[in-house]
Amino acid sequence: MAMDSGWADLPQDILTLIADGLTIDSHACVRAVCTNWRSLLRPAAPSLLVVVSDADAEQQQRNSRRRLCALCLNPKSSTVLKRRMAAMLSLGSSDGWLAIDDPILRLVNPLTDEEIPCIIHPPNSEAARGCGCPRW
Amino acid sequence: MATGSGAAAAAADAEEKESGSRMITLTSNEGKAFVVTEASARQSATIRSMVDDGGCVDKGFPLPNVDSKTLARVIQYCDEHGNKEAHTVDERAALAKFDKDFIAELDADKAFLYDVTMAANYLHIQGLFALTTQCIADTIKGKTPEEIRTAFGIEYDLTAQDEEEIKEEDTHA
Repeated sequence: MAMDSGWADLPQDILTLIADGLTIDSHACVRAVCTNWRSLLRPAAPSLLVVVSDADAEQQQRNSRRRLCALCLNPKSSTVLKRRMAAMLSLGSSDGWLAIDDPILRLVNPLTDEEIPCIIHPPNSEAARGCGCPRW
Repeated sequence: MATGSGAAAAAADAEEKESGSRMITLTSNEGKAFVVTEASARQSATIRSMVDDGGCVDKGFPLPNVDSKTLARVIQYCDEHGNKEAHTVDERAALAKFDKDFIAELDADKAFLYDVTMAANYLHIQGLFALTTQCIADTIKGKTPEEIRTAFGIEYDLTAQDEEEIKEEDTHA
């Protein structure tokens, strides 16, 4: 039978279900197969960040630091972040972005390593006192 | 499984008297009738809910999205899982062996694997759907995009901009 079966037109729910079970590397490969698969799948981004529980993490925690691990797409597959990221103190996370205040406040995507600096007023400035912004 | 009308009806009657279970007719999009035991048909959540709702059991179920070749293969799975017991270790091992051989055949014919996956999805046959999607995932694992395209017979149609983005993403991974 000829291979004109329409794999490229796989319904989104089925493709998503399959891709969700893959590692982040395989997920990226699936998105690079054809335009339709690419349009059906969102880029892989960590949806949840958790503290990893290994000896290294315990050591980190004693230092009041958290070593973060991104749970991507599927609880079965996780991606350990770059060492540089691992030592950072996170203030919070949303949509795969981490708020980091070390040494300056910025948003960091732990997977792509992109950074968006956040401009805040110096703590002693008139503006900061005026609006009562807490110093993070 | 029996096909046709006269022989099928006779087989259905015999089966019904023997086991007390009803026979159900499934019709492919080519109009071919397949008579299966209710236990077999109930592997499909779609058909199960129609039967339980007191739907058209006597008239049978037309399946406009499934061709004869695919339906025959799907019924092969449903017969095995619906009509056979899975209480003992041996029985479960026999079913696992069946599944392994069943999916190996589909794995070798990706176009047919697609048809069976779509039918399992449409008919909500959970076990079969899990089996086929696992096979698809296993095919993808560890392959490059080019190898995945080859495995499934997908045409390369990415734009230069897509390629640029992919290269960009690669440096992050």
